[in-house]
Amino acid sequence: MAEPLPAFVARRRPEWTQLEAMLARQKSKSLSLPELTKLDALYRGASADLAVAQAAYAGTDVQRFLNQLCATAYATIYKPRGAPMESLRTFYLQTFPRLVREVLGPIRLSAAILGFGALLGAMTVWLHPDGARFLVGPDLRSFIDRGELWTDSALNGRTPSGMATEIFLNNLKVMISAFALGVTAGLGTALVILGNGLFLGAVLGTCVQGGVGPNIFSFIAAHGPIELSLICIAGGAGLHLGRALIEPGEHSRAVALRGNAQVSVQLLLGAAPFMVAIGVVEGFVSPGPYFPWPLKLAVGLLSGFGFWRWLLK
Amino acid sequence: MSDALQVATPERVAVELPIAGLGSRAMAYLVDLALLGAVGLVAYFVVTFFVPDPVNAALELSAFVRIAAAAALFFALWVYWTLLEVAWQGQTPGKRLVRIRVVKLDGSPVTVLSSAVRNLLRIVDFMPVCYPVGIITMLVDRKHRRLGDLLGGTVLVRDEQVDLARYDQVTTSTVAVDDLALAMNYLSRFDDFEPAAQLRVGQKLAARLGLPGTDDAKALRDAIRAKLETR
Repeated sequence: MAEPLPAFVARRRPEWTQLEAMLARQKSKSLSLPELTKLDALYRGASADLAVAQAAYAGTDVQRFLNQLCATAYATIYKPRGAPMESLRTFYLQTFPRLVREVLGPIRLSAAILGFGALLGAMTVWLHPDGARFLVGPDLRSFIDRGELWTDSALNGRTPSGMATEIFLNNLKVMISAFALGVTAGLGTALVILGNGLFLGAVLGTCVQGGVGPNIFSFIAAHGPIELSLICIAGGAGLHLGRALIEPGEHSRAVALRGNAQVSVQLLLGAAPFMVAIGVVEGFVSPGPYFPWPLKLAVGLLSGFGFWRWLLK
Repeated sequence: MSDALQVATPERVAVELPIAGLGSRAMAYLVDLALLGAVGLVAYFVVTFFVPDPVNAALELSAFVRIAAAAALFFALWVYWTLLEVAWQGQTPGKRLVRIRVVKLDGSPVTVLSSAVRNLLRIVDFMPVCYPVGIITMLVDRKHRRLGDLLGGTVLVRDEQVDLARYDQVTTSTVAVDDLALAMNYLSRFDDFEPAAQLRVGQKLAARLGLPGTDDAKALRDAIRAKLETR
């Protein structure tokens, strides 16, 4: 019943060539409506040809050709309609707060880990000054020993925000690794957050001990609340990812992981612009005595309060 | 095509997407890496052309510019992968050269979120150096996915390029497949037939193939064989 392969190719090939040309033009979105109708008809024709080829000419190059042609056409025609590109407005007014509320448990947990780490760091400095040397490097120590804060100094070849940029980059790194390490069932995330808390607590402790406590609290007052919130959210995103492995629910672990990853990555991407914005505050407002500390404290508390009120409304 | 992603299209035809293996993926990655390195090198030389000491100059910039620049640099690597994969239907320059592309598990083009997941997870796959995590995952997984692909719900498939040009030369005056099967059957069993059957079947076959009929069975056989060989 089947015609010889060369005859089949000779009869149908003009349409395949036409379809190929149209698919190439579709990429530049220059097809008119009648042409799109034609594209549809050509694709269906090629699909039927592929079915014939699978039955009668299996394993030939014609089957592979049609397979590739149909795959390309399928991907072009059944492209999901702009769904992922939801408008920024809807994302920040609805989606992002909703996701934060959904993942509030892991976010709380990551906040607890951060707080525990900070406490541990401060206690280490207080009780075992020798051990604290591992936590706070000699760089910072030399400043504190001179009775000033690294962020106050414009004399060491760095502008006041020199350190701030590094801290900002470090935070960015912490956020991304906290998210990505969620695949280790959340253990890696917990470690990153704990380590960050440990460092934070140790630095604060050392500063208080060195007599520059007011300076450091004035430094972190403006940007601290939101920055720590963002780290907690990133940590929560990582723990949420890890939860898919521990407690996959009604799905297989692979499917649960995929689903949670979609939520977590939105949390991370949603938090990223805030990270940049808070980096600017950290660079401009926080360092040095240019702004009085009550103002910084007010900025920090108000922004933190507003941030969480918006998320948890 | 043992490793292939089966996609059921609404047209009720199964399209097979051959899955890209470790080798082609590594190749594509190296090409991308070389490209990024070249861009970085050129950028460095362009900057040093205007500014003699970029490191100290950077330290004198204002905080805003520096944070913006740092953030831009940090995201540039990630954006390179994600933006290109979304804009070029799952391809980066390296992938395009090796002819592989990222698709979702159902064969549709990769979305922003999926691409974001798989490229953010790159740092875990890379750990601690040169992708051991990713490679082990790929070796274990039947669809050769690294961790980022598993979480993003994506697969790398090969684009096949099949040239049908060799069918151009073929004329259409060929024997139909069914007739061909009959004729070959006849030729191979010719010596086992009774002489009467040799002639009777041969004449019918000759009529189907459009050959002049004779009463000589051997002549018929030779004519049929000659007809098949002129294809």
